[in-house]
Amino acid sequence: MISNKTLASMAPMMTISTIVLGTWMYLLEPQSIVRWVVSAGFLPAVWVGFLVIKPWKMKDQTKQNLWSAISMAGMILALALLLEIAINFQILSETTSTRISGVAMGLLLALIGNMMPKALSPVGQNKSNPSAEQKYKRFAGWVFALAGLAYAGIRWFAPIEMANDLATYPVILALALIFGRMIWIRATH
Amino acid sequence: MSNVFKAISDPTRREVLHLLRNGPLSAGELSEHFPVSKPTMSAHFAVLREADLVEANKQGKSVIYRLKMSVLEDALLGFTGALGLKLGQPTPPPSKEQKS
Repeated sequence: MISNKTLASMAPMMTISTIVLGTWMYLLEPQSIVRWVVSAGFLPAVWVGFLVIKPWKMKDQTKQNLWSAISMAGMILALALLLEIAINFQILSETTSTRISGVAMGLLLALIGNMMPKALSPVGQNKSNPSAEQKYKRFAGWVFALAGLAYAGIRWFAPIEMANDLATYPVILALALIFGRMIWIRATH
Repeated sequence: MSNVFKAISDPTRREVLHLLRNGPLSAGELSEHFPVSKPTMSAHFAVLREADLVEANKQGKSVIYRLKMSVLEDALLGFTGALGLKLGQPTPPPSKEQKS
């Protein structure tokens, strides 16, 4: 599994990838220029936006989380552009492309769930019971990771016409469980 | 990832992680569960910190350990138990006679 540090170090590479792929798509389909300009320009715009909040003044952990988020956004964009290119060259059908992007979204959800228990609150900042907070994060992490895997599985294996709708159920269930647990913890602690 | 495997390969360290599942504990509270010397426990804590499975914070005179495991690392710890490397009951703290 990719660590947060590795993910953060991939941010520049992912940004360059989206620029290259967006430009390539423009060359293939110049009539959809707005889509490709947005795709290629989104992450560079985010980098410019970060200059306003002065990331060099942030704590190392915050900076790392920021670059990880850019990397993940870059991965989604790059995959979407790669799938468009594959459809354009008739390497993949629209159906397969939809399934792959669905699986990627599910795996991303699982990845976020996986990292959730590792993101600890700074000591002293948390006013509630630290044991309850730790147990809650573990629970939420497991639920999100499993919901992400279920989402990916459904998007890949279910009939294409109902895969999108069916895949939302485990995610809705996960959110209900996490909010339910939060309410229960607040009521009992 | 090899650091994680190294960390969870030892039964004492696995037991430390199991104890921390219930919430943060001080180094002293954790050490009470194991009949080993303090330097040995410190070495175990160092391996767990190096693998990024626990986080240590100094509060006053004591060091408080918190669990810092991802879902995958948690599952790996569970699998080591399921694959015959099952942990026994937490070792009871040694009596004062044993300690001295």
